[in-house]
Amino acid sequence: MYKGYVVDRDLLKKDQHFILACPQCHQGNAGILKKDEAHKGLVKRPSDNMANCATCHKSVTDKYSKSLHYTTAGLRNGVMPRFSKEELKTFDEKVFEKSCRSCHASCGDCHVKSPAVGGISTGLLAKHKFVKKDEGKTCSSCHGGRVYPEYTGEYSGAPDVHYQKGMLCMDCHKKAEFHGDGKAYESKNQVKDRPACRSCHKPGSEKNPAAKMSHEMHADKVSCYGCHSGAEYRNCQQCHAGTGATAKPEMILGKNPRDKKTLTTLRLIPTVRDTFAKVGIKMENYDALPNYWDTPAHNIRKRTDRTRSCDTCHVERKNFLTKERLIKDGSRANEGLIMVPKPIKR
Amino acid sequence: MEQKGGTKRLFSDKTYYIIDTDGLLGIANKLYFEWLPLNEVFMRNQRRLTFSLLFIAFLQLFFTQAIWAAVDSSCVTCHTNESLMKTLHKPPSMPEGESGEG
Repeated sequence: MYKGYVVDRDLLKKDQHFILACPQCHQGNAGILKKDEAHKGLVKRPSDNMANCATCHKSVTDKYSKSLHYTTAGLRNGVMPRFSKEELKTFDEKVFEKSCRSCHASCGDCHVKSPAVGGISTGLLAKHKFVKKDEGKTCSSCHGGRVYPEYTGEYSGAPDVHYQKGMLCMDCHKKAEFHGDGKAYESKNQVKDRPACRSCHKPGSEKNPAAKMSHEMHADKVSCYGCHSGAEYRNCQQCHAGTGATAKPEMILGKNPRDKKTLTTLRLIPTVRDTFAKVGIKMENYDALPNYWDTPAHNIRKRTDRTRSCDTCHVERKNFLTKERLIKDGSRANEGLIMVPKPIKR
Repeated sequence: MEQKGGTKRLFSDKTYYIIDTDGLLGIANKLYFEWLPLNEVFMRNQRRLTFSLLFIAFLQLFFTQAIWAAVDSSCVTCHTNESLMKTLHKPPSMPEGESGEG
């Protein structure tokens, strides 16, 4: 891990970012060779103050300061409807700013140094080179609990077919999605031009007639993930402020809470009734939101048990959310997500 | 970063520089005491000579011997030395429980 703090000497002469000395961004005491004294006043993440990058990259930082990766507004707005007005104030002061907000990504977290998770980082991406992207060391750090290991197959053993084809995060999630467009969105669902399967896989272009027919029959009724999610994915539960959560693998099929006409893959969200009890928040409107949200499962396979046989869903109802599967003492809104597939007329 | 003729130079209150002046003194020494014969012609042109020396020193500052502190500061001394970093770096302690958004 020490290698994560080694700088390439050649870069210092070639890279424009090093035209000024290290303390210009990092502060500290450059003239002292003793480690502790040299690091006094050290700024580990100078790009937390975007003014440092704005000197040359103002067009980017102006937009990025409002992007969701920076504001983490989605984390707040996602849970906000469960709070009363007073509870929201307490949440903003005691939880969001101190805990959720720590997930925000600075410029350096994507372009210089692998972001720290739980206080641990693997260090500089390329010996302090300012890289355009390195998904395996950046995206995988913050999104390494769920999406990334599901995508690579590390979690369930079945990798996403796009990963097998050599595609990484930014092949679908474009730069503009991260840097933002200057608009402060409340959640990722409001962002335009997000990745969509149909951007590349046009309906009607199927070579297999059975696939074409199946797509036509299920259009606007079942999401792509509903049939093509290839394996169980991680479902976190019982999250409590200060102690974290537990997790288990599951595939859950149910109604999309944002569009109840569509069946899709659901993921359990670990917020329970006493998640924020330690800071005095009871969540007076807890039942306003369900505990399961639509998830774009990043473990896509062309052929799954659902694409091979209609009976998997219409007879066996495999992986479907049922009353028995609902979490104990969960939100009353969960029952509205249960979908019973229609039997097939033969 | 190496400085070439006509390059814009940045100044700031907190900018750090180290300038190697060995070459300047050496050249000045040689010019004044060894290369230039001590005769009446040069005594008369002392003002011109002094100006020439100052000009050479000025050129040296920009073209030959200026080294940016980014290359020679103590930060760089440690952080470009892999074996030194290995001895100085302390692995962080592992936190309890799961964390990260995922």
